[in-house]
Amino acid sequence: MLEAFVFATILCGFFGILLKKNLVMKIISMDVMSTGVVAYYVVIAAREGLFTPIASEVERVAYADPVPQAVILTAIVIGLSIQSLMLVGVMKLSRDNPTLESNEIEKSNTP
Amino acid sequence: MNTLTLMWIAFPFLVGFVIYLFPKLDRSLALCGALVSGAYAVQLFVRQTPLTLRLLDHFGVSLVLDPLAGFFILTNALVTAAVILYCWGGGKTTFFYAQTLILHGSVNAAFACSDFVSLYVALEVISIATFLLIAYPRTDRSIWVGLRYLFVSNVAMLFYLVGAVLVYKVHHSFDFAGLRGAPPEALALIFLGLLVKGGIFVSGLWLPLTHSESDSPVSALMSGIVVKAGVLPLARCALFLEEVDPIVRFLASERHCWACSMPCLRKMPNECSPFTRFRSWGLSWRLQKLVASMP
Repeated sequence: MLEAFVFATILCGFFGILLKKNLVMKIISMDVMSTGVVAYYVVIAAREGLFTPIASEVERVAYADPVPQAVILTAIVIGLSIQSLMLVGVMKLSRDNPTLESNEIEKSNTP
Repeated sequence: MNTLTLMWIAFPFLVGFVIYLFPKLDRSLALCGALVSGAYAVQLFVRQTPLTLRLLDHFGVSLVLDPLAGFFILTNALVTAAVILYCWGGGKTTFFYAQTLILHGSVNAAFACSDFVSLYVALEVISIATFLLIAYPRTDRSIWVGLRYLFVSNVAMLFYLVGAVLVYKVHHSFDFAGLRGAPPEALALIFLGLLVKGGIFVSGLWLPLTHSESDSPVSALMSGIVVKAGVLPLARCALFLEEVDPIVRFLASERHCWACSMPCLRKMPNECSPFTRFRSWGLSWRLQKLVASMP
């Protein structure tokens, strides 16, 4: 059930990237898609338990798997930096193309 | 030997940042970074035995350095050195040399690693460095071409990440070897990511415009090394999994046909250059040889 929601988020983001014309909307869709991917890693990590894996006196409980969470932290940081780069690029483009419609920009910028 | 390998991976990044501190020495330092890589690749050929590094338990980073990776690392070093020498008197700024060396280092890392997460990180660093190099003239057209590239590669890498976690779900490890026994959708998603990064036909339709619109040194870097960062992992996966063998073989020959026919169909000055065309032939030929030589 949870997995289905996660995949729905990923697909929503993906179709947003394909179908939206405005560049800022495309970037937001990409963010939605990457949120879906992050959520999928968290769902996979929580398959065998929900407890935070910290060594302590408590008796053995079902811990969540820390590896996917650690891995996805890297992907979140990379995603953030890529989005900021894209937004800077879009800011530069918006001076000459105020509507930021991708098909218009494509038309004026292909040989 | 392990320390040497780790130093070799860190060296281009370190020198890339040092270049900013000593802008006067930019070209010499960049050339020095490329030559160190070349020397390391030659040493790999001399040793012959593959070197496998497994850092931080089986969850961590694993690197494989064999003569096959040596060929790619040597190509990387030669292309980077050629680009630096080509631009020697061309008035490029310090930023260009620093980015070139950082790109060089991340491509080296992509060739060396043998687990999905390190590969992901390396490929994303490659995308960022390539975007900065493409958008370096800061004209509208170059920024747009760079943005397109970043969009395509980032979306492909998101699919790749989903594939990687599917492999993890089965084996509790991100190793390439985990591809055996992984569900077919994991294979499909990972291949989608790598094929897009490798610029192989249908998924690689971003490639012609991007290559022809960027500066010629950047275009040479992209066709020379950046696309190969997607191709070597693909070949490694084929080595682990003989079911994938016919697919990679087909893609190699299809790339060959595409490389010959595309420049004739479209007007693309850089893609038409003989260097680029021979590069494509050479790559597909190498891939076919590689697959044919598999046990």
